[in-house]
This record gives sequence, structure tokens and C-alpha cells, in this order.
Amino acid sequence: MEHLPGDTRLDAELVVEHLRAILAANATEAPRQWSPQATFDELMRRMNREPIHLHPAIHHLHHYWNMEALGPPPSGRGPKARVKRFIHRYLEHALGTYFRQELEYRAALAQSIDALAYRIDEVTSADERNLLELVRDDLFDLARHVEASCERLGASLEPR
Amino acid sequence: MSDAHRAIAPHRAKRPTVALVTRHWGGGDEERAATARLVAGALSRHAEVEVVHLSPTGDHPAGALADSVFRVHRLGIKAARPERAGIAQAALTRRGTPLGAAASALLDRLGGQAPGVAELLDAIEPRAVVLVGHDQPWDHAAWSASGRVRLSALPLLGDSHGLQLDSVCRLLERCDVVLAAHPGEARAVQAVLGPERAGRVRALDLAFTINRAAVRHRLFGVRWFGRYVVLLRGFPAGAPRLERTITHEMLRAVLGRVSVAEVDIERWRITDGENTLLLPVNPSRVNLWRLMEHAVATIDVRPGGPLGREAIESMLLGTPVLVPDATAAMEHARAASGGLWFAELRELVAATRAMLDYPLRNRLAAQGEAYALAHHGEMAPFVEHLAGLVLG
Repeated sequence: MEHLPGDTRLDAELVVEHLRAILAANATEAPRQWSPQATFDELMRRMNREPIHLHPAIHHLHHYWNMEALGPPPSGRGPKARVKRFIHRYLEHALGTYFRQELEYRAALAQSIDALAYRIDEVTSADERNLLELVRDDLFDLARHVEASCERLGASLEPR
Repeated sequence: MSDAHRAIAPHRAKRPTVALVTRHWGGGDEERAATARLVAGALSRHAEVEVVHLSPTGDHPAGALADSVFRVHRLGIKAARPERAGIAQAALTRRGTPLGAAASALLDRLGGQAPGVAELLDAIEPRAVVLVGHDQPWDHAAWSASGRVRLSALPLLGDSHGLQLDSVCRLLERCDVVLAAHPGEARAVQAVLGPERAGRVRALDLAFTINRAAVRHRLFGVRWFGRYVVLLRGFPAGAPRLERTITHEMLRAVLGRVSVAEVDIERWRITDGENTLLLPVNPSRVNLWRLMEHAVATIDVRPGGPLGREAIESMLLGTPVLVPDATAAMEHARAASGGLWFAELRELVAATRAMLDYPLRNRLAAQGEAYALAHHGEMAPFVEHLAGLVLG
């Protein structure tokens, strides 16, 4: 993209097609690492229930899902290295597609669990918030009742 | 004719009367309702606008209510089963497969009926009728009877499922003008009408005004995060939102040193990887403009709406867009060459990385802005164009 022509109109459709062609030729463009999401809800930090997204298992999953099964072909010139390269080539030929599918599956799994954890935290937070609102409404009712009682009491004590 | 409807006559002014029939009416930010109000407002410059609001909430008293410069007549939709209709539509419609007559009749029946529309229109005696939104009960007989009235439709298709219904297709055939909100909608309607009626489909470039004075200033705290992209996950409140399969953090891992400002209905936040700021803002459209104005790009991952309004506004602000494939927003981005689009996550990642290439980003931004200003930036040409199409 560095040498775009100066005056002519750039066709976005051609750019998208170009990107799709690159992707079709190269299967390693998907992001391979990210952190679990945080909900950033102030309420969650003060709750008794620990947010799901802080669970160590989710962090473990995010750190270790991206394991290459085979890695790069072994280097070296000796007979041992040649045998290793042969085995590597054989395994790549026989199981390479499976390993790539397995990796994509683990990526999807990590994403899905992350999404579920986020949603659970959201629901928990909303639940807590509703509970707090109920308590607040009850307290308001109580305050109104006490205020009305005080007014009645004050009126009864006034000299006639 | 009922007494209530007769009472309309004294209010009639010398200007022509236009009846706008829709089930999308109200003060919210929902795209179809906002469009109905925008169209009514534009028409009110040249005509008296009587809005026929087909409301799903049951019976309403006869007679009109004043709403700004409009007179609104509310009619209840009878026997509608929206939940069943949604389930049946999802089960019966399949991409690329035509809907059978029985399925179409079933979906029509579940959509309900709005008796009284023809009688009300007879009472209003409009010079033209505009139908806004395809998802309403269409009484074909009523429209056929009122053959002398000039009829326009603005289908506002979210997808092409609506065009599989026989009633909608017959109605569009009856229309003198079909107004298309984007090129994809125009193509879909032309395919239904056939080559001999394709000329009736006209592009309606809706105009959106931007408060340029307000957007000069960045949102509080955003400047400390340097360059950033806007990730639109949910906006405005009540509109469809993308659930978290494409995460904020994943996008940030792709972008490296570029920050991500995420708009998720009421929760707006910006992060550069080490620091995150929950933006203390009112989730308003003006604040969205302020965020988009200074961004590298706007990445819209929401389910597609009928207009793609935020994509147009982003291009009006000189910020290129990255939008899902096969949506109204994508149609605008393609027509303008003002952004890129993606069908799946890998394409989103590749397109986001490409957008960080500044010659490409700047070219898309300039093209998008030029297109958006020419087609959607000026209210006066839109008003005249709409009046010409509707009134003939």
C-alpha cells in the first residue's frame, strides 16, 4: 500500500479483494494471543462474589491455548537431523491439517469461554444492582414513614 | 366516514397534504423511527404532513394528536403475533431460496391487520402517501382502491427477507416511486420489480447534520491515549449489540501501539494496553461524533441496520470505516470507497492492520468524506429531492 497513485480514485473493493487473496494464501493472520476481558464495573470490585473473569483457569487457558504441535522443522546437517526432518515432514503431511484445525478449535474455545465469563459477570452485576435498588427503595419508604410519623407526632404536641 | 375523521377537514391548509404511514414513530434514536421523523420533517417544508402511526399496542381513540408540526393518527394493529412471526420467519426463510405462497401467507397473517387505514386515508384525502418501513401489515386491497393517490415507499430493508413476502412485493409494484436508502436496497427492489419497472426505484440520500462546532473538542481524557480506533459494539441504547465474540482486548492485541476506544451502549472506555479509562460521558450522538472525529478509523461490529447511519456520519467526519459485509453500512463504504469491510474475524484483523497504513487510510478518509458530503451532508437538496419524488 506504500505507493498509492496520487490522483486516481482508489477502489475499496479492490483493496478488500486484495486482502482476501492474501488471507487465502496465508492461514496465520488470526490473532494468537490476548488477555481475558475485564468488565470494569465498579460494583464488581466491591462484591463478595469474585468475578469469573478473574478465575486463574481462564488466565491459564489464555496463556496456553496457542501451542504449536509441531513447530518449525529441525535444523542441522548430521544423520540424526536428517531423520528428525524426515519424521517432521511425515507428521506434517499426515497430521498438519488436523493440528491446524485443533488450534483453530482451541482459539474458538478460548473466545467462547471468555464471552461466557463476561456475560456471567454482567448478569451477576445487574443482579446485585437490582438488589441494591430494592434495598434503597425500602430505605426510602422507611424514611418517608419515619418522617410522616415525626410530623404527626410534632402536630400532636403543638399547643392548641 | 366517522365524525372524528371529518374533523380533519377544517385543519386542511392550502398546501398539499401528504400522509405518511408507518409503524415506526416516536422520539427515540431507533433508525427506522428516526428516518420516519426525518422524512416527515423534510416533507413538511412543502406539504401538510399527516402521520398514520400503526401502533402494536392495541386500540386508540379516533382523531389526531399534534406532534410538533405533524398531526398523528394512531391506529392499532390487530391480531399481530410478533414473537411467532419472528420464529416462523427464521424457520421459513433461507438465504437464496424463495418463500412459498403458503409461508408468505402465514407470515402476513402473523403480522396482523390494520383495519381502518383506507377509511382514514379517504378522510385525509392526501395528494400523496408515503409508506415508511416494509415491516407493517399491508392491506393490498386498500392501496389498490386508492389508485388515484401517488404512492411512494421507503422499505428500509435490514435484509432482503421482507422482499420475499408476496404482499410487500405486490405493494411495491403498485408504488409510483420506491425510495432506496442505499445501493444494495435499490438492487434488491429492482430485482423484485423487474426491468420494466426498475426505473421507479430512486436513490434517497438521507441527509444527516453534524454539529461541527461540538466535535472540535475531544472527549475528556482521550488525548492521553494517542492514536486510537473507535470500536462500535452497541449504539444507541436499544439498538442491536454485538455480543462478545470479537473482544476489545483481541483487537488491541492486533493494533499494537494504537489504542482502542470502545462504545458499548452506556459503557465507553479507552485502553492503550497498560491503562484503561472508563470515559465519564453521556452516551449521546454528539459525544460519539467527538470520539469518531479524532479517530484513525471507526470499526463497526454491530449487526447491520437498515441505514448504516453511523458509517455515514463517520465518513462525514473524515474518518474511514470498517464495517461488516452485506450490510447497509458496507453498501455506503463501497459506494464511497471510504472504508473496508469484513466477513469474518481474520478479515477484520487484516483490514484493521491495513487501515493503519496511513496513505491508504488517508485516501479512504478523503474519498469517504467527499462522497458523504455530496450525498448526505446537505439538508436543503435532500428536502427538495424528496419533495420532488413524493409529490411528483
